[in-house]
Amino acid sequence: MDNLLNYQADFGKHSINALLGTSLTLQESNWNAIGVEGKNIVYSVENGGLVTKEAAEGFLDPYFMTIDAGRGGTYSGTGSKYQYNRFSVFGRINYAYANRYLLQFTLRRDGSSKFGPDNRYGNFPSLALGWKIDEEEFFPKGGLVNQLKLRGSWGKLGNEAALRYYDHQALVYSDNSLIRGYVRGGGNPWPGSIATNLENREIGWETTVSQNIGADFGLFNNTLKGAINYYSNTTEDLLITKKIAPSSGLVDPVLNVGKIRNSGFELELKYTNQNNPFAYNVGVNLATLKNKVISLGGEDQTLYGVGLKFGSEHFPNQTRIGSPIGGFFLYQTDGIFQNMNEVSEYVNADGKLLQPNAKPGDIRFVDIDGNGTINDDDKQYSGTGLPKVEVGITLGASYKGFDMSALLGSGWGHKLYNGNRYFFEAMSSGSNFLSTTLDAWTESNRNTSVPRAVLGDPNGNSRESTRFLEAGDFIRLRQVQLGYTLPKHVLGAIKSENLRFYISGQNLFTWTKYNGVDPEFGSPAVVGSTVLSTGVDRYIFPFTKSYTLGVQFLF
Amino acid sequence: MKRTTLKYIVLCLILSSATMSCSDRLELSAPDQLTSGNFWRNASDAEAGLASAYSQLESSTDVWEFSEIKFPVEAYREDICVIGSDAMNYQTWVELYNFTYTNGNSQFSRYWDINYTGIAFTNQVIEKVATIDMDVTYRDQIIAEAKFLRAYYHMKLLLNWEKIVLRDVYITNESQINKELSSRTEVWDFIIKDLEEAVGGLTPKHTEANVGRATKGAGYAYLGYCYLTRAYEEAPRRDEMLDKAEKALRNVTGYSLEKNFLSMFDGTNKNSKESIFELQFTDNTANGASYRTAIHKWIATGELGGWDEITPSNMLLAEFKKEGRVATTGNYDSRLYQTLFCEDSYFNDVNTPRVYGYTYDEVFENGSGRMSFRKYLPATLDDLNKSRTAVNLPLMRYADVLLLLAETLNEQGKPGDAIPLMNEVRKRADMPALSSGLDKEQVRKQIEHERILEFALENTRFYDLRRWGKTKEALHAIGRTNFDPNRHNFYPIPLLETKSNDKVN
Repeated sequence: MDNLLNYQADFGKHSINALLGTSLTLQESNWNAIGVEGKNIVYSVENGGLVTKEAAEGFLDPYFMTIDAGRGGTYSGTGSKYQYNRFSVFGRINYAYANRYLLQFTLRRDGSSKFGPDNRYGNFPSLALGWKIDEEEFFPKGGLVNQLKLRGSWGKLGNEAALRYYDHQALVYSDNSLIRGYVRGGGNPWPGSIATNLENREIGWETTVSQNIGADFGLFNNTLKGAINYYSNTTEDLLITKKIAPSSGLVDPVLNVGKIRNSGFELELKYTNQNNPFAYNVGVNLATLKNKVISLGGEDQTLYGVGLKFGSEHFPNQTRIGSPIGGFFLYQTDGIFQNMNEVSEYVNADGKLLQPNAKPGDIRFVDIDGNGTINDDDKQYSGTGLPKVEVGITLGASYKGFDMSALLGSGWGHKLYNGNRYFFEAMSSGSNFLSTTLDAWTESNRNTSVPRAVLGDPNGNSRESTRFLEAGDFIRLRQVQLGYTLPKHVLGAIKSENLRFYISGQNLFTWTKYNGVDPEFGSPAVVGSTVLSTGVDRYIFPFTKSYTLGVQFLF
Repeated sequence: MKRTTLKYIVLCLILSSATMSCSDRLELSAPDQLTSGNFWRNASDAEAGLASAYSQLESSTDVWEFSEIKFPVEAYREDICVIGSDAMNYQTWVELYNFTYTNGNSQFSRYWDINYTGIAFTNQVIEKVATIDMDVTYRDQIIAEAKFLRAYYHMKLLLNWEKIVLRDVYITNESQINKELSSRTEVWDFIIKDLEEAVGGLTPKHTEANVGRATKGAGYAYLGYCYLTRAYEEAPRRDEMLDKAEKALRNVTGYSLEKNFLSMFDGTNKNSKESIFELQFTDNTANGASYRTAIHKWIATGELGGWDEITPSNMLLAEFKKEGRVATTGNYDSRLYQTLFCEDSYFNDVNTPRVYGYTYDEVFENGSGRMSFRKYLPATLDDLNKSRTAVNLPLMRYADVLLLLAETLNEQGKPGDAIPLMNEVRKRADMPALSSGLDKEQVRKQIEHERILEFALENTRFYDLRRWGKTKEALHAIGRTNFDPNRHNFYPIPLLETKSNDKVN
């Protein structure tokens, strides 16, 4: 339900456009399902005790599987229902003076049923300013630069997408199975009902303050157009599923946590040449990203990402103040022990072995803090899964009836944690491993980075370390298409207005040094992973290239 | 004029939308679920909550997880078993068996989680049920059962970790989540206080429809067990603890031994007259109920259609045969045949084939010496071949109370009083009475022997050994020399707890 009110007025060089509105979104879902299973429960008395047995009960006809077409059977039903409401009041004023100086002010107040009564509403203002320099008297007409606009903005927005519909309440779950129910009376199911989540009435809006400053420009009579932009977005009270102490006995809740900043430059350029018969255009866009955690619950607070090994072990990511969210904190490897001498010479100041369980062929880890033992404190920030620079290129060209387009994407400067190598290069138990383990260290194969194969992995060669961290840089030809449109005079003969043949390919070519299946593996690729587990790869589905051959016609 | 009208329209719009309808529309609660705010209305809600408080017992929260958590964590470190061939595929189980685990081991991490989930549920019940307007006696009984369970979950944790986090409130605020570890004596005091309070409200006997829930007898039995354990852990208070153990154990009345030992473990005699506290399952799947597990597949060896995850050790077989064929049946101790299948004339009788209607040689291989545990396997071949079973697991039996009391009396220096209790247990196993002249040390040895035979695969052995200071001796004696009591008598605090709880290091 939206109510909008628009007001438009011009006074000489002043131009005002005001908008006022309310919006009410009501969402409701009701889902029900029933099923029938081909069995009946038969009760009988055997040896003085009540015995329940299942007996097969089929359908009248096996091809006739409607719910009521059976001969008995056990019916079951399930369903769910939810409601979600949002209410917003917003106002916007656009003001322009002589179409040169532009101002836009927006204020919105949003309320969501996802929050408890104390934090239900948030106020979100934003302001944008623009200056069309090219409209000024002093701006030289007919010069190199024909279009130039400066702009800046500040805005605050709220987000609640990470929340489920009733996260501020502790829902009572009912269940007639092992997970929450029990059995009494020697065999009677005893359904249980209990709240499993944290009741959190204080949970509130995640807010992002976005700041931008930039310019739009056109050169050479707008054949080269572009924009440059610096942005800095600070997100506060992030709604994140936080791993909490298991001893609380609660399911990990979504909580408002900390403050992070994303900042960087964006550059967009597009050159268009409309010459006949050969027309083409080239576009480049480049964006840099710097992500930094500004604050968390406490100074020393660390948030962990996913535990790769059954959720309870092997945590490559840590979110700490000063580094990117979900950064990699890892043990640093320093080659492989080639002989027993190297093991026994790897000692601390007191002459004690730093890696007492090591044997030749095991990995040497660095005692970063120099405290004489190698433990969790020696994990060091080793990179982030967020690309520092992303560059995309678009190409388009046409010559007579032929046309061509291509799209290239790339990411640079980030790291990926190859979780599949962690599992399939472990060589610590009798199971299948990657073929790379054929290069494992042996007395006769010393020049390798793969450690020895040893049951149980006593040295912890598979601990979370830079061993499994790889550069994530890639260039990918996302799409390329070639087409040919038949000339008009041919078309007339077949009574068609337009007939085009084309061939296109997706992801035909990828350049990367990354060893995983796909440097852009679908995220989240790990069960239970969130932004706190950025860059951890457990993607195992083969990467697909696809080709399309097509004909387009119009009659 | 135009302006004024506009203002009014705007104002009306905002007012009507915002104040009249919308604020209310944002006040939603789930249409298909109750919340902790509007649940807990009556006795039926209280019972449903209590069912959940029971649900986490012994990690029986999932068809597979139940066997895969409970037995690798509790049984693998005992000398009475050997890890099976299929289990070698699971590194985190092998680590437990070999004592090479780290603090991130998934199995005991889950064990920790599940018991704490149980504690959170009991805290919720204790707190919320107290506010329900219902029959006071029944309300007190429900709270007493919840306290019994809270003590039970804490006890299971304290038996496996040297220090644990004591949780005595229902957490409703973020600030309550992180909490430090408590000392052993502090937790024991808390457990005992809960149990002492529980026995006041627990019923001596449940109605038929409620059999399986905790009774006064269960409360006293565990109270006795806790006091006896403390007697060893807290040497200065030894006599006081032994006295309290004796008193509590003597309060366990109304139970007697079940002659048919096997029937308590194969699903044919659920909640027997010997059963004091028992883990409940059911085959009943009406209305979508699901309370069956795959434990029989987990326990049975490949020859019996199982997965071969655990087999009896030679040490266990030797212990069973130690006294020779002196039972009144002319065979070894009768518990042997009801605890495991092994190569013996008893199982190779062609006229009475006792391995599910076959002889040992037909199922296993003649001369192979292969063994399989028999406890928790269903009684019939039909049921054994099904993918799910619902046999109950006795957790506290009257035989345990008798032997715990015998141990208490013997430790008090009254071996003569202990012997008749042991004889009662032996008689059920068709074994001759012990000489009444055994001294304290001999009685100790005999108690160890009886406990091994009586409770094999009931996972009491490791706690027994630790109580007696014999874990290293026992494990090294069978060549499991990786065991170091300083490191392996208790499990390390799970990694996830140390990582997420900043009050635990």
